[in-house]
Amino acid sequence: MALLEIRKLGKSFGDKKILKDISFELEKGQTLSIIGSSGSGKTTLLRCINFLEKADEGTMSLNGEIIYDAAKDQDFKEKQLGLIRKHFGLVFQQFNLFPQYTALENVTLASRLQGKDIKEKAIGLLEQMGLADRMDYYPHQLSGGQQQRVAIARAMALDPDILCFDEPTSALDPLLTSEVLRVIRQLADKKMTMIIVTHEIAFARLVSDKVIFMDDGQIIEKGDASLIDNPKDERTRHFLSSLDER
Amino acid sequence: MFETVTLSLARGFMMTLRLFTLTLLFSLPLGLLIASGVITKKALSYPLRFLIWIIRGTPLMLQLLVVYYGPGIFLGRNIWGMGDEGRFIASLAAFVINYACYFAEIFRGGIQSIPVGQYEAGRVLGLSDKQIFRNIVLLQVIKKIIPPISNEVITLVKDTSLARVIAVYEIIWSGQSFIKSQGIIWPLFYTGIFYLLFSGLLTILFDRMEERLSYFV
Repeated sequence: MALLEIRKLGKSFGDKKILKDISFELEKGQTLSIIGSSGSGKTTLLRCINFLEKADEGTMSLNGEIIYDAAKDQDFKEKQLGLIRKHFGLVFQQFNLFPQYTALENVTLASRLQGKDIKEKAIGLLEQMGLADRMDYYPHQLSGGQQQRVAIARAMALDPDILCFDEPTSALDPLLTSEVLRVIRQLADKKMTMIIVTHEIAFARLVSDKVIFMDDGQIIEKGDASLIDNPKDERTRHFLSSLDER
Repeated sequence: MFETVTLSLARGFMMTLRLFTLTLLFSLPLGLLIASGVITKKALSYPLRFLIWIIRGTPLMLQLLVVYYGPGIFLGRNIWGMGDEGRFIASLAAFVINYACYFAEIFRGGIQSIPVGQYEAGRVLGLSDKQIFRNIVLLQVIKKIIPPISNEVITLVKDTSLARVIAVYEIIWSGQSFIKSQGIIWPLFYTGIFYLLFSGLLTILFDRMEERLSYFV
């Protein structure tokens, strides 16, 4: 049974349909990359999965159990959304660290507010991210790549079933990009279940068990990482070749 | 003579301080209330923005006169009570409304300047809206609004002198009284020293607050 199963997900803003009939499955320990041009709906899809937006069609299941059914759950309040969000972690394009807290405090804050002391674990996570000597730094004292690695540790600290990345390196220069991709790759090797929205095609080919190509709010193609080398659909080919030209 | 004048001005300054302190005490929370009304309650936002327009669009001196004499003219009775205390309460009411509106705009700007990503990061970490406001947003807002708030507070020190239009015996009134009684004008100029010392003290206080929050950006 798939860890995550998305069935016929749809989302509109006003009368503009952003997502249409999105269905896919993700097994435990797999890494899924979602690629596609800007405005193809991939970020909205990720936001629906993390309940920052509520999908208005379709269902989401975790371990075979429906956690969200748009037909009846659209009136979910923040409290209920908070409960189902616990299954997911999200790393943002702009990091969104909390500026008034140190790296370590950023990682422990959410647990501390729930009355749990996870300092040891947080230290371990930051070490794993290569930030052993940066734990007491404030975000503005860190490079973009370091900030993003703190953000990854912060998301990991709550033991999500699935860790999601929304273009995690788009705000970084190539050097910083590679240090962030390195830790994401380590997570993939450790069989962390992940969904990555990315423009780093070479990286997606390297780490992904599954690849989804989106265009105009729809899934155009899905398959394993070889999809990137052998796209079948014309739109996928066009998108990939436009990246090669850069 | 110098001693007499100093004592008299000090008494006037006590009144200035009283008006200043009580105005802040009531207008800061009222301003926060108005700001949250403007931000969160659509139905409330229009009348509140209308109020802010009226208050920011007319002179405080005019507002003092309207607040003090208005009820007598339109309701047929003086709701502020008799004598010095009645006039003081009327001036306090006018100052509180006026400053609450200015503070409300500062609070609103401060709250709305926090990037939406901060709220979303809190949400995906499973924090409630209340936890997000208290533990993530609030301190960032405070840091942002300290400079404009300190501006308003220092302006308030001097604005209290407007209360003399409804005969509240603050320090300028005390200084002026020597022109009539003794024919000397220097006591009026001397009041400036009181204002300077007090606003200097406030400047130091606000600088310290800024300094304490300078550890993050």
